[in-house]
Amino acid sequence: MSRPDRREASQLRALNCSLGQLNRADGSAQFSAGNTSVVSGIYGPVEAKVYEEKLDRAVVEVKFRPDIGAPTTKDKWMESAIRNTFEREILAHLHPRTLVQIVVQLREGDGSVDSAAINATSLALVDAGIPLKCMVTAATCAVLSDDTTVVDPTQEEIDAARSTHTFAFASGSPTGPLYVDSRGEFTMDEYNHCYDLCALATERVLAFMRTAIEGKVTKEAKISAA
Amino acid sequence: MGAEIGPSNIEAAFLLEALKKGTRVDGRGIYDYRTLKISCGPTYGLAEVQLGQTRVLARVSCEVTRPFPDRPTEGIVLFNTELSSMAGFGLDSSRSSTQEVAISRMVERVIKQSRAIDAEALCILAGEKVWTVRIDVHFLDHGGNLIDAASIAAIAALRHFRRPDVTVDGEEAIIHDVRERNPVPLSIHHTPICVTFGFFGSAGDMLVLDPTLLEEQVQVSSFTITLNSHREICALNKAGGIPLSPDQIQRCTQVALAKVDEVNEKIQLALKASTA
Amino acid sequence: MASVKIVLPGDIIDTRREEEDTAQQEPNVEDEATVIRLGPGLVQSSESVSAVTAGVLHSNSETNRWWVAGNKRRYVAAVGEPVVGVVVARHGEGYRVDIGSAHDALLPQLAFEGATKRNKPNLAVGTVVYGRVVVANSVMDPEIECFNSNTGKSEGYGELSEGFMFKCSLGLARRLIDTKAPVLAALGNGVPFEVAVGVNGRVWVNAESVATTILVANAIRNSEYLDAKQCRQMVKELLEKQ
Repeated sequence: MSRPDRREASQLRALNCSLGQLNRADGSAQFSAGNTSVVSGIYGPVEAKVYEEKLDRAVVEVKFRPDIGAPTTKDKWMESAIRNTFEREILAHLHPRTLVQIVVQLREGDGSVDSAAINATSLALVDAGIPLKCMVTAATCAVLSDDTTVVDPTQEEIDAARSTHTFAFASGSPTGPLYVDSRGEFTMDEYNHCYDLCALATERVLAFMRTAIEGKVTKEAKISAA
Repeated sequence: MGAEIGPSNIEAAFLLEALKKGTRVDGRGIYDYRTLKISCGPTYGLAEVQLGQTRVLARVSCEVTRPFPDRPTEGIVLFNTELSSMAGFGLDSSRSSTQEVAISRMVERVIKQSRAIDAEALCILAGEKVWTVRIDVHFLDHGGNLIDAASIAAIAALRHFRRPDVTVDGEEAIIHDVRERNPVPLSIHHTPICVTFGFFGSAGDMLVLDPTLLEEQVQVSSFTITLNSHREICALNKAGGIPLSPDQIQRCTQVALAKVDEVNEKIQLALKASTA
Repeated sequence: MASVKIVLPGDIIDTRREEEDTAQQEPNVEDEATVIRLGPGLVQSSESVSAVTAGVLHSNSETNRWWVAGNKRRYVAAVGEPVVGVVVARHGEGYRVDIGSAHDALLPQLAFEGATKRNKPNLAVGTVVYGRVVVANSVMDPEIECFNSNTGKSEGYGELSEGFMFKCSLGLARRLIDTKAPVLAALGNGVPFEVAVGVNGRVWVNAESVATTILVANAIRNSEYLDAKQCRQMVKELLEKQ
C-alpha cells in the first residue's frame, strides 16, 4: 500500500530544525518532521526551589504544552516520558542544587509528536550547553491494518494503525533503547521489526542533528578561528 | 538567579538619559517599531510573530458544539493565553504578576469584544450546532510588548484559518472533510491591532512606541490603543500608572494610525506568502 | 582551519595519536607525557574520553590538555574569572550579587580597595559591580571580590557607575576579553570609550556621550556572528552614520 504522501515505508518526512532562536531561554531548538513541529526551551542550570533542590545533583523538570487547549493528563504523561528519557543522560551531578527546566511547546501535531519532542529537547539541551552523556534521538513506527510497517507516521496513518511504537536511543551506545512506547495490538515479530526500523531511522536523525549542530558551532567559532 | 529581577540602576538611569536626548538604548527612534516578522502556515490557522526579541505563536482551531442557550444562533469564540516559562524563567509560577493577567485579558478583549469575528456566521443549525472557534496564544519569548505581538499573531492566525465546509439539508448538517471539499475562511468583520506606548519621566512626558522588556521595567505608565484598518478605535487601555494628559493620547493615536497600516500590510503579505 | 574538529555529546575522543608521538620521541618519560588533562566539555568514562557538550575540540600538545570550546548563555562560576554583577540584596557582612549563575554570589563588604570596618562602600540594591570570582565550586555559593586581595589594589574592579550594561552570549564575552577582539579594536580607532567585560555574558560600556555609548553597545552586540573583516566593516558603517 502506498502512503498518502507517497513516501517509502521507511522514509522520514522532511526534517527541519533551528537552534537558539529564543533569546530568553538558555538554549532552544525547533524540530520539525513534515507538519509536526515542536519548540523546546531550556533554562539551566538555574537556582532550584529550596524544597525541591537535591544536594548531590540537578533536578530535571519538564513542562509540555499542547498546541490546542490547556494541558491534560496526556500531556502530563508526555512530560514524565521526556523527563525519564533525559534524566539519566544529563550529567546532573556536575551541577548540584540546581534546576534544569525543559519547556516543550507543540507547534503543530501531525503524528509522531513524542519522537519530535524528544529530538527537539535533545537539540535544545546541546544548545544550552547542558552536559550530556550522549545525544538522544527518537523515531516512531506504525503497523497499519494491512500489516505493513511505516516509519514517522502522520496523524492520518496513526489513526488507521493497529499499533504505534516510539523508541529513543542514545548515540553511540548499543545498549538498547532509553525509551519505548508501544500502543495497540501487535506481535513480537512486529515489535522487533519496528525496533529495527526505528533504530535505523534514529541514525538518520542523528546525522541530521550533527549537521545542524556543526553548522551552529562553525558559525559561532568563526572569530575564535580567525 | 534566573527569575525576573528588575533592571540595574545604571540601565534605568542610562535609558532615561538617552530618552531625554530622544534616543533609545537599542538605537531606535522613539516612534520606531522593532522589526516585525509574521509567518503563517503550513497548516491553516497557525501564525508566528516575531517582534524584535519577542516571539508569539497563535493557533486557531474549531469544533462543532452546542450553542449557549441564550444565544442559539451564535458561534462561540474561546480565547486562551498563558505565559509559559518558555517565555522567561519563572513566568508561569504563582508569582506571575497581575500585569501578565492584564496582557491576556487585553488581547482577549480586543479580539472577542470588538466583534472582529462574525459569530452568527459560525452557526450551523440554530440552537443545535455551532462552530466553536478556539484561539490559543503561546508566548515563546518575552522581549517586551507582548500585547502587540499577541494581537497581531491572533488576528493573522484567524485570517489564515479555514474551517471545514458545511451543507445543511433541513435538519441534517453535513460537515465535509477538508480533503473532499475546500475549507472556507472565517467571516471577519475587521482586523483590530494593538499599538502600545510606554511613558517615562516623573510627569510621563517622554514616550516610546513598542517598548522593550527593559523599557517596560522602567516605564511609569503604558497605553495601548487598538485600531482597525478602517481607522476606527476598537479599544483603549491605560492600566494604571501615572496620569497622562489628553494631548499625549491624541499624539499616540496619530502615531498608531500610521503603524496600524504598516502592520496590516505585513499581515497581508504574510497571508499571501503562505498561499503562494 | 581544515583540521577543526567539532564534537557532540557522546562522541569518543581519540587522544591516542598524541600519546604515541610522545612515546616514540621520549620513551623514558612516557609516564608523565601520557597524562591527559581534561578541560571543559570532556569526561572520562571507563577507558575512553568522551565529549559532554558540543563545540570545537581543542588540544595543547605541550601540556596534553584537551577541552571543548562551545557557546552557551548560562554562566557557571569559575575561580579567577572577571564578572559583571548586580547587587540584589544586602546582608550583615556584605552583599548578594546576581552574576547570572544558578546561585547568587556573595560579595563581602571588606572585599574592596581600602575598605576597613569603619570605612566601607555602601552599595544600594541595583548597583552594578565588576568583580573577580574567588570561590566557585558546585556545593557552595560563589564568592566574588572587587579588589585583588594579594595586593589590596582595585585593579579596575569595583562599582560601575554611569554607562550602560547589556547581556551577550558567553562565547562573545570570552572573545571580547581577548585584547585583540576585532570589534573593540575597530571601535577604539574611531571613538574613545571604556569597557568592562564579564565572562558571565555581561558587558558594561561608557563613553563621553549617550549616543556613543549606544553605538558601542550595539556594535558589540552585532559582532556575535561576524568575523574580523566584517566587524571592521560594520563598525565603519556605524561610525559613518553617526
